[in-house]
This record gives sequence, C-alpha cells and structure tokens, in this order.
Amino acid sequence: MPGSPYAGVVTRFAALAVDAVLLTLAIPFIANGAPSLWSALDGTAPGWLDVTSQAAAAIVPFAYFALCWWAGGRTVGGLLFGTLVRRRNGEPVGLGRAILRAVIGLALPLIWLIGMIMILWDDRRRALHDRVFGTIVVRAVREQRLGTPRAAVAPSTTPARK
Amino acid sequence: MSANESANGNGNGSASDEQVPQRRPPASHLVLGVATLTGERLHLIGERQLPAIALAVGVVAEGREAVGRAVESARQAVPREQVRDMLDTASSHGRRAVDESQSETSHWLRKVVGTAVGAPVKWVEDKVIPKVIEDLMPYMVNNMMPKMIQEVLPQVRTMVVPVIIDDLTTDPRVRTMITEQSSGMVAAATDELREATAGADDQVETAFRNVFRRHSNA
Repeated sequence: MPGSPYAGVVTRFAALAVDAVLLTLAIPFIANGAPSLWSALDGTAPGWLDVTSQAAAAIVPFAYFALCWWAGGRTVGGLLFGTLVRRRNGEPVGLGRAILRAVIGLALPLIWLIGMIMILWDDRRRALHDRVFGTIVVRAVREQRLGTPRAAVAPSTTPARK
Repeated sequence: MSANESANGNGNGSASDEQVPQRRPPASHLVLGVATLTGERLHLIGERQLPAIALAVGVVAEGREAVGRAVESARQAVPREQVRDMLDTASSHGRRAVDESQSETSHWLRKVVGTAVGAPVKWVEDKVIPKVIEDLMPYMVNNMMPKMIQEVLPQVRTMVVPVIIDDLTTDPRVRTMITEQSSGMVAAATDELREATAGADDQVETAFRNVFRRHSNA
C-alpha cells in the first residue's frame, strides 16, 4: 500500500529498535547507578537500595512506553521515525490503554514481535496488539500533509483483511 | 663736533645729558638721531657730509611746514561738507574701479587657464593614465602584490581574523542563523530517514503481497 498514512513494518521495527537501545543503556544505569554511588561514598550499599533500584529498572520499560504513548503518542523511536500511536478513531491513547498495551507487549515479547507480521497484510497496517487494544500507528509527517490528523486516521469501515 | 653735539648745540656732553628731558622724543627726532648716530659709528658721516645732511633735514622740515600751512588754508577756504562729498565720490569711484578690474581679470584668467590647462588634462586622463596603468599592471600583479600580500597577510591573520571571528561568534544574528541551519539540517536528515523507511515499508509490503499472491494463484 504505497503512500499509506500508517507506519509500516520497517518503520515500526526501526522505532522499536531505537527504544530498545535507549532502554538497554538506561536500565543498567538505573539498576546500578544509585548503589554504585552509595558504595563509592559510604562502602557497601544497603540491601533496600539494591532492591529499589532493581525494581525501578524493571518498571522503567513499562513506564517509558506507557507514559510516552499516553502523553504524546510517541516514544523516542517514534519521534525519530515520525510515528504516532492513536486510537482507532484517531484520538490520543488513554492512560489505561497505554499501560495495558505496554504491559502485555513487554510481558509477551515474542507474541508482540510475531504479531507485527500482521502489519504486512492489514489495510491499516495494524499489528496483533493494535487489533487487541484498538490502536493504530500513523505517520506524523503524512498526517500533517493531509491537513487534519483525523483525515489520516479516519476510522475504516472496511473490515481488515484476514 | 659730533652729530649728537651738533643736535644739542652744545659741546659739553655731561651738561647736555642733564638738560635732556626724561620723556621719549618725537618719532621724527628718534629716526633722525638713530640714523646720524649709526652713520657716525659706521664712519659713513663725517665732517664733510654733515652740512649736507643738516641742509636736507632743514629743507624737509620747511617743506612739511609749508604743506601744513597750505592744507590749513585750503581747509579754511573749502567747506567741510564739500570736502566730505568729494572724498565719498572719490571713494565710490575707486571701489567701482577695483571691482570691475577684479571681475575682468578673473574672467580673463579663467578663460586663459581653462583653455591652457583643460585640453592637456583631458589628454592626460584619456591617453596617459590608462596607458600607465596598463603598463604598470603586470608589474603590480607579479611583483608588488605578492610582496604586499606576503607582508600584510600575517598581520591580517594575527590582528584582523580574530576580531572578525569574535564579532561573528558574539553576534546574535549569526548565532541564530547557525542554530536555524543546524536545526534545519537535523530536520532534513530526519525527513530523509522517514522517507527512506516509508519507502522500505512499501517495498516490503509489496514484496510480501506479491509472494503470497503467487502462492495463492499456484
């Protein structure tokens, strides 16, 4: 579907890769930064700090994706590649939907990645998790060129090809 | 007898010094005294020249008195208003004559100088100066300019370039321009990236559909 306003599989995988790289860099820093600093200043870090840091590092990916999708519809990777996560009718994603999308996606990463293959034959380039959570991923640039964001992501009346 | 002694009419110098008044003598007496003293000191005036000098001085004194008497009698004979009118008329005539002569002279000089200088100047401008410049140009380009550049360039590097760089770096307009250009470059690179991935999306999708269509047709 050349010229589609929806982001395709290459763009979405590239954006996901950028986010993955960022999280790969950030998570060790969050997990070990505070304990290392404590150790450098005052000997061995207390156990509660290790636990808290590990928990924060574990939460960060969920929080990152959920908050980014909810706040602006885009993560850093999406910002770079110009993609926006929207509801099926083109409206911004709510916090609950964003959290669910992030939690399920990160909890079941294999299903998430396999589900991305569905983008290739879906009319609106929706992945499996998009269908589950009622979201679409549109191109920000194409959205601006079309004039109104809603025109680019108008709700489709045609059923998606299975 | 010296001129001093003759002027005093007394041979005794010390007695005459006591009789000389303390206030300054008249200018004519001063001039005459200085001249005769100088002549005596330089041995230009002697015993033989002195009577002639005395005669000349006496004639001049008599003449001056005669002129004074004539002027006084003329002043008494002619009314003062008539004299003033005559002087005013003469002054106006003189002034008019001076103005006319100045104007005529200036006009004539301008004409003469214009014809005498204008043509040669034009000839110099048209013929000589271009030829001189044309002949000098290779020398200036090949010999003078490299030397000048060689001498000046280090100073330009050390003195001028840092100032210009400072001006450019502190100029808010230049900073704004650089920021805009940088952001423009980033935006252009991002657009290219997005276009590339969009094209890749389309190609992958088209290839996928072609493969599956072929399989379904088979």
